[in-house]
Amino acid sequence: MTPPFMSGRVATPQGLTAKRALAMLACASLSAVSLQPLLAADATAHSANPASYWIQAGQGGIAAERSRYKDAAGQVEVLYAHGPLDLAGNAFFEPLGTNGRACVTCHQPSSGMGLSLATIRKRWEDSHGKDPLFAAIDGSNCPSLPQDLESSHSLLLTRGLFRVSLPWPRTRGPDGTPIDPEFTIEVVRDPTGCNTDPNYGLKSAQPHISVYRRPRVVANLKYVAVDAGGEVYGALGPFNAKRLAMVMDRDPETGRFMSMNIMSDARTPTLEIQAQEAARDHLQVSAPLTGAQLKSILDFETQVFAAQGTDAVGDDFSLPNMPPALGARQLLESRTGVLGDNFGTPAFKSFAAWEGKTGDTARQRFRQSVIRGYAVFFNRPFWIRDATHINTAGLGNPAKRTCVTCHNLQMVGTDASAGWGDLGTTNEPWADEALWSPTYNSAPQLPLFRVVCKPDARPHPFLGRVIYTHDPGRALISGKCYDVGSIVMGQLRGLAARAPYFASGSAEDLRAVVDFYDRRFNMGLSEQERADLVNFLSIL
Amino acid sequence: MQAATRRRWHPSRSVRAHGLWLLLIASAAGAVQPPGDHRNFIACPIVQDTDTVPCWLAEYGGELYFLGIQTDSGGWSPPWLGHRVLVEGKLAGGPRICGGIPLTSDAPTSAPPSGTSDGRPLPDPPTVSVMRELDGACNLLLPADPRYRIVGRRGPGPNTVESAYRKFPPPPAPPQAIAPYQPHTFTLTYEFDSELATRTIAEALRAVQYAQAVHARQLTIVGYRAATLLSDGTLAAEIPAIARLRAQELERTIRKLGLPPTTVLKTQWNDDTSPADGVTDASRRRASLTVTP
Repeated sequence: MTPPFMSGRVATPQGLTAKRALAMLACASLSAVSLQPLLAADATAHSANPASYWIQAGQGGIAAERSRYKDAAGQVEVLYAHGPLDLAGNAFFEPLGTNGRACVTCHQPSSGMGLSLATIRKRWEDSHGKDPLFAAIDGSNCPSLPQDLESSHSLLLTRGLFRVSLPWPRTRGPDGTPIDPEFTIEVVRDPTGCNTDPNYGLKSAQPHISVYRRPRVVANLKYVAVDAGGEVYGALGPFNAKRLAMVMDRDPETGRFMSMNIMSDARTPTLEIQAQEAARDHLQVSAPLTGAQLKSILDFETQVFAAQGTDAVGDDFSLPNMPPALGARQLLESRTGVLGDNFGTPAFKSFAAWEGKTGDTARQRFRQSVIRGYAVFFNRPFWIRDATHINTAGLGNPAKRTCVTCHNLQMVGTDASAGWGDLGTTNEPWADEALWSPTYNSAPQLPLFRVVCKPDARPHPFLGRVIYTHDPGRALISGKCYDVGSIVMGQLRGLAARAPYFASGSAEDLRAVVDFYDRRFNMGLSEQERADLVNFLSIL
Repeated sequence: MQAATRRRWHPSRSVRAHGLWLLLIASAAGAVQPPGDHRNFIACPIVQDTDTVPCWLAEYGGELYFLGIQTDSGGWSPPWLGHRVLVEGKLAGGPRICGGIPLTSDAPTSAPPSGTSDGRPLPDPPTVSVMRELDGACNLLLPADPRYRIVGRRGPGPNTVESAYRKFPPPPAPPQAIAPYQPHTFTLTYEFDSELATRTIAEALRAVQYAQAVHARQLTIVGYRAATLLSDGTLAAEIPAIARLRAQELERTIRKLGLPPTTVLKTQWNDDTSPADGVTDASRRRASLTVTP
């Protein structure tokens, strides 16, 4: 007898391959399902419907307090805590710069306030590649490429990756502190051409390094964009809970130390700074945002919540007697700063509401699978090994712990402390585009860098003094060898709406995420455990 | 008495061998050693799994020693496979734990035991320092052995009773600033070859708070490099740059914590050439912060 939801690749929508998922989503799944009338699907280029799969910069309209959009596992739900939202004049939704983009361009409600690959591809098709989303500055592999060619946008169109251009070598940290980088960077492979480009590359007049990353989620930020105080940080004062010798970055306005979990490289300690940087680098504004524009963006960002709203078998998480962590409203109403690596305050609270009801309906089988997946996530120890800022944070190498050791902030599953670590998602030998991988059978897409640590520097703890990486991550900001490949983990809510995963977009679906961890840490997950984990992650 | 057994060292007599600076003192090789109940050595750590949390062991002189168990990020920091470890400890007494003779520290802490072995409280762990460079030979993970009955305060799963971070005590308050203000020196100690004061960084915060309270004229950072007398009579010296790296890392920390604009920050570094005795050597891997009102 086949165990319930045994085969993650076949029986669950999360297990679809990228091509199948894209085909399915492009055909049917990007329509909006809202709790308010009139919110039918509308995929036209300049829709005035704020519940469409695509909100165009400056389109205006009124967005419902709560909207739902079909995704790979059911429906993702977006909630505006202040009620229905007038998009007109809201700076988050207005084209503030010179390229026609708004913040919403890369943080779409239909993608749970991130941006799925399926949405990107559909937008390419609907706009014939002319949408500002594909702007040369970062929506193409390099601005110097012919922008009308699909191949010039291949990283965005195949992995959902935007170009992030950072000055290198960096001489000052985000707070102005002088930095003397501990390593040199050499370009080994440059399939996009941007790192060797005479105008944009590492040897240009204004040297920059180009790395390629997924956009992060602009929702549930009361859990993420917080200062380093309160229940988690209080006793530690200004020091990083994981690296006690490191002082957190400050909010320059208030002087408070911040949790540094906003960006994948933690380069902006506050939402204000992030907004200014994003406006400059992604919207190409000609002047810094005004105070009014900043306030409008921050007011929006701090009241938007996103999570899976319904699951694959039709459970509606807004109904009574549902597990208390599910749905966007629970994110609005729950406490922040609660450590979920604790039996008393578990990461995603209790699923007791679904326990004890056995049977053979699809819904009951699915619920039991989710409960098992949560148990694996919360309780199943494995050897966490050679992961910088995890094993080096006082646990030892290896450490026998569980997923929730790192995904420990209740409700969102980020790390309560400054959450960057090197899991191998960008560093060889674990990154998917390994140089010598026998399973690697297509042309390299990402750049490859050779990082060499200087003799006096503390080397990378588990890769030593010579590191091959697609993205040095946090090290591009800190200048530290031991930070090479460290990425700030993202939150685990609304996942089914925004594949692919990891900052490098290397996991095409949730099954690929689970498989990566199994491979990386030799977890020995059974097929049943993998399917259960996928189902659990899909309903967050 | 103890001073007579100490061994002086000088940086010019050190050589790089196996990723470690070993001091060559041919005239007295083997003649001076730490006290007989001390075990100072550099070896590959060994993980011995149990049905609960793993034990950490190391082998020296044909004998297996117990170092500690996996705890939490706020507790003892276990070694890393992939790196050798410097162990500085003394015999704790009592039965073997996970097959190893238990070692403990010369400077016991007030922290509660990290767990029990066969119902007995575990001793305070010895001082351990992870060596900076990789060593691929350090890769031994032994499967769980049901004979070893370890109960950790923190198991391999989620915590049971309290938030992990709540275990961190709040940093002690800085000295009272009562006029006439007095100079005060704060000391941070380090793992071998490390510029990161992972366990004592709160002293930097206390120094800054004191400097702010007394409107300090000057804050002087001095980073030191030291050596450890090993049980085989050799000296292990830290890398030559470590005094500078400690001072510079601390300078960055102090600047980020924030000094009064009128406080002059001076940064210096030295080798500590005082005799190593195999007992107190860890305390000389340090940096000092002297606040001058």
